[in-house]
Order: sequence, then structure tokens, then C-alpha cells
Amino acid sequence: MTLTLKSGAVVKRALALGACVLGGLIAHETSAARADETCNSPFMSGLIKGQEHYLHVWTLGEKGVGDESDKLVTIDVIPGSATYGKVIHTLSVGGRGEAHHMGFTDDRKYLWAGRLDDSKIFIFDVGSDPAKPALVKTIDNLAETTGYVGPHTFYALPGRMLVQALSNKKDHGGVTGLITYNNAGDLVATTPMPVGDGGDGYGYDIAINPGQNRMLTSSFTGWTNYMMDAAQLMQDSAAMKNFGGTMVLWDLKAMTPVKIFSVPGAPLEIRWALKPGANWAITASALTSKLYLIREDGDGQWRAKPVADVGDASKIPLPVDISISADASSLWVNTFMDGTARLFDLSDPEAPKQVYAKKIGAQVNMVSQSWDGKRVYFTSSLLANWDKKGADNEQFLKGYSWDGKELKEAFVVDFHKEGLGRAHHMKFTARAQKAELP
Amino acid sequence: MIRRKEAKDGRARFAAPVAAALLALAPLAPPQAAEHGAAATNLPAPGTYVLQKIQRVPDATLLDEAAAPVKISAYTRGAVTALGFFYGHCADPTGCPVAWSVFEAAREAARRDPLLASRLRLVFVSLDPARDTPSTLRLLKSNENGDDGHAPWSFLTGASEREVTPLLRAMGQDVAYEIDDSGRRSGAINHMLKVFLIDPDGWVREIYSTAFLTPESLLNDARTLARAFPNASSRLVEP
Repeated sequence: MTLTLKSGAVVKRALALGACVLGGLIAHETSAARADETCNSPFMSGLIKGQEHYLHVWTLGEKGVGDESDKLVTIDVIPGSATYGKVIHTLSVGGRGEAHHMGFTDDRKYLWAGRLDDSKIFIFDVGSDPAKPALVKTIDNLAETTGYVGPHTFYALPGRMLVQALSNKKDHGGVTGLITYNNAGDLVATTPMPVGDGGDGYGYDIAINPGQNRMLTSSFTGWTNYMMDAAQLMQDSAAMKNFGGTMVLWDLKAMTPVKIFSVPGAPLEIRWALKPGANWAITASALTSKLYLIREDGDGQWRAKPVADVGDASKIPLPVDISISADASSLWVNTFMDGTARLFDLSDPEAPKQVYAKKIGAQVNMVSQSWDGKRVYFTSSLLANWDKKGADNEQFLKGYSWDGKELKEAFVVDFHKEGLGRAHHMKFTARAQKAELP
Repeated sequence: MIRRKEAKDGRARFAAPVAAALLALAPLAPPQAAEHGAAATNLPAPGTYVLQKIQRVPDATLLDEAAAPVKISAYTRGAVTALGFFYGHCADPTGCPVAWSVFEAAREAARRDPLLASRLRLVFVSLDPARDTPSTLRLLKSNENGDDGHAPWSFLTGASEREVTPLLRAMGQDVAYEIDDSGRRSGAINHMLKVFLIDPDGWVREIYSTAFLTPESLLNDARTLARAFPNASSRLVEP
């Protein structure tokens, strides 16, 4: 059914309201956000494509480093600021529970952050004063109330937070589910990952295309594996079989699987092309070192297919985080083992081509770029027991400028020297508006 | 950016000739589709899915168009209700105009749909009680409602901003008042467009933001709730 919006009623209302509804456009912002990455939920209202002011890093406490506690670290990234590139705030949450990923609520005022070991979820107020986040709530009963553990991805829906877990309470394997909370932190629903029709029941990331009513999820591994020492895991052939090899296309409204794709080798982060009219998403498979394209073909069928190698797969470079440009023309891909950031040209998403590479450090995991693509930030930690050992266990946040040709280092925060820990997920905020609800 | 001139007293003027003249000078831009706001496709058939119980609608005392105090529960119980927050001065093309147009289109379709005609209710609550007075609401109500009583559209406001604030907080309706260079409010209220679909028991079952607020998605979900609540009725019960 197609409905045509009436405009006649606008005139009627104008006559009723007089000056109330007259005038041209007021281009005011519909949210307090002033800076966005390219990987946030599309349900976050009113993306603003400006300069980020603060970078928040969800940081794993590390034995022998500072207070040894997981913490939210805030760095000033305002150009010209006296404290540019410096830590301006830290908020320790107590203990070490494998701090991992974060996500904003739809109004961007709160940042949810999860721990993969003890499954605690911390909700930080970043709206009141983004330079000084405050912990306002801790959810510590995820396993008891849902049966799932390892809250990984936090993805905003209107008034809700959709959480992808990695594992389950019963056997700590990879079969898991999705959890929906409302923004107050009350449990709304649980949704198991599909185990029939080729589904392995595993989960990792979430990415939604609202216009299509479609959601994609990917798959990783369970608690037993992600908490195991990496070298021990690699030698355990039975454990190495317990990695996800699927992606799921969902009917978002019904929260039911539509199609299950075979994507071997633990497909991790998923990014939809944000370009208007584009109808595809991309992911990287960690263990098989490939970029996979998920696309609706001309016949109306969704398919997932490998479209590029990331480095030399035989050396297991381990592609981890990816970051797509706002116009879907390029993709940053980090490979953990060689500490390298690679840029792929996505002009033809069916055949991405690596066009640039730069070694960031001995190890590198997360990458976040500004909306305009001119600033790119990297952090080092993958998982506490998977990070490299000894001198290679570099822990940092590095900020770069990108002019389309070269990454130029702008600042480095050494998370060991600063007594912070292992630097993992990053999120941007900006100064809040002064006038809020009375 | 074009700034709208406010009336000196900050209130609406209802002289039609003046309004018409101003309209000619500065026509209101038609609502625009949101960046991601293409009509949602691939929606499951009504009644084949279950909408989650997201949150309860808190109670609050508001004013109706007759300036009588009313409980919001009187407008959010018993029917399938689409509730949105608005303010009359809003001209953000991704804000209130989108909600107006979606409500108008949805209401027009619902009036002709036996499943929804007597079960769907539309409610707009003002974010701007100082300017959206009961007299303004009366005009809006008469403009937006037909004579058949089908899919009625009610307009509510508060006695003051402070009266509405707890409701906004509880519903998760984000609001910020724009400040001009002199430090005073400009009159613009920055808010994230949200429309709440509420079941007859007072549970919010869906929340729409600009990313997917379309008449089709709203009607699809309203039909799903109407099937689940066959006894729903949009008639207001007198207290």
C-alpha cells in the first residue's frame, strides 16, 4: 500500500496557528550530538558530522598497571586545546571483568559498556558532562535473568538497547542470544540465535538497515575460548572447532531469522554501506582473513560471498575491527598480528582492493574514524588473554590525520605509561548543550 | 539557516489574513523524508509477529483543549494509541512536520479500515505549553478530526513546562531548549522525534524515530495490536 502525504493540512494548520508555524526551515539539531563515527546505530537521532571533542576508551584493568581496574578513560581530542591528546578523566568501575565494547543509547546521553567475563553492564551518563562521564547504573544479573553471558555489542533501538551476547551460562560455549533492554535498564526480551537450518547459534555483532527492516548478526566464540590463553587455544584442535561460521539476516520487526549465510572463520564486525541507495554490508572473517560482502542481488536474494583477501591468509594476520567511510567508498581493516591498518577501496564492493597500509604498533585492534574520514583513531587490545606478551604487549590510543594519502600521527597515549591498562573500544562525544529539561 | 520571527508576545496570532499573507512570504517547507526514512519494506504481515512490551506509560496530569485537567491514562488506555510529542512552532523538517504528515496519512487510512477505525486513537502532547495553549489545541483538533469519530486525534498540553517534564523524562523523550547568542531561549525546542505505539493496557509496544517512522510501519503495527486486542475502543471514557 502506498500512502501519499498531504500538504493541504499544513496550510490549514498554518491558518489555525497563524505565526506559529510560519517561516522557512530552522536547521536546528535534533540531538545534542556533534560528532559521529560511521558505525553507530542508525536509530541514534540526527547524526552530526562535525569535530569530536572527547574520545572515551573502555579499558581493561591490567595486573601491575595503575589501580588494575577496568575503567572508562576520556581523552581530549579538541584541536588546539591545551590538553589535546591527553587523558582528562578516568572512571574505574572496580575489578577486572574483560571490558570490551560500548554503545550509545538512541538519545546519545548514555553509554552502555560491557564486560565479557563477569557479564556486567555499566551505564555511563555522557550527556550531562561528556568530559566527566558518571556511572549511573550497573546491570549485574544478565546470566541469571537471561541464561546468556558475554554482553558484546550494544546497539541502540528507539528507547531500547539491543545487546548481542557471545556465550551462555549453561556450558560457556558459543550458542547464545540477543537481549533487549529498555533505556532504563529493564529487561524487555531475549531472542535465541538460530540453531536450525544451518545456524550455529553463535553471535558477535549487530548491524541494522531500518529502511529494509533487516538486521545482520555475525558469530565468534564462547566464553571458554575467549577467556583462554591465545597460544593454548591455537594448539587445542577441539577448541578451534568452536568458532562461528555463520551470519544471520533477520526480520527486525519480528525478530525472526530470514536467512542464514555460511561465512567460515568467525565473521566479526558488520558495517552497512551508509550511502543512500546502497544495499549491502561488509564484514571481515578473522580466521580466514577475508572480506565478505552481504548483498541483495538483482533477483531479490540476499547472499554472502568472499570478495577480497586481507593480507596473506596462510599467516593468519587476524583481521579484527573495520571502519567504513560515510560514503562507503573505503574501509579501514586492522590486522592484529602484524599491528597493521589497511585501507581498502570499496568503489566496487564486489572487488575491494587494498590501496594503503601502515603499521600502527606491535598489535592493533580497534579503529574508529570521524564522519568526514579525516581523523582515524586506533587502540591496541583484543582480549586480555589474546594480547601479545612481553615487549609486544603495547597498549595505546593513537590518533592520526588522514589526507587521503597518508596517516599522520597526531598524538599517542601510552596506556601503560599512564597507568591505565589495555585500551579497547572507543566512542566519540562532544560538549553537551547547556539547556536541558528543567 | 533562516530564523523565524516570533510574535512579540510569543503567542500565536490567529488572524487568517495575516497568516495568509505571511504564508505567501514564507511558505512552510513540506515535510521531507529522513535520511534513512524511505518507506520501510519487508514488513511482516500484521498479526504474524509480537511487539515487545518496552515500557509502561507513566501517569501524568495534562490539559485538554477545554483547559480541563485530564489524566494521560484516559488517552492511552483501552485503545491502540499512537502518541507523539510536538510543538506548534516546530519547523525542523525531520521533526514535527514528519509526525504531522505520518499521523494524517495513518489516520486517513485507519478511518477506512474496519480493523482500526474504531480502535486506533492518535494523541499529540505539546512540548511547549506556554505557546500551545488549549485554545490552540481546539483549532488543531477541529482541523484534524472528521465528523465520523473514527481514529480520533486528541491534542493535550500542560499547565506549565514543569508539569510536562516528568512525563518527558519517563517516556524518554529527549528535549533541549535552544539558546541564542544573548543566552536566552530562541523558541526552538531541539527534540528527537519519537512516536510511541501503546497497547490498550498502557504498554509502549513500539517507538518510532525518524529512521523508520512511516505510515506503513505505524499502520502495520497498529493492525497487529488491534488483532491482539479485538475489544480495543478509541472512544474516550468520561472520568
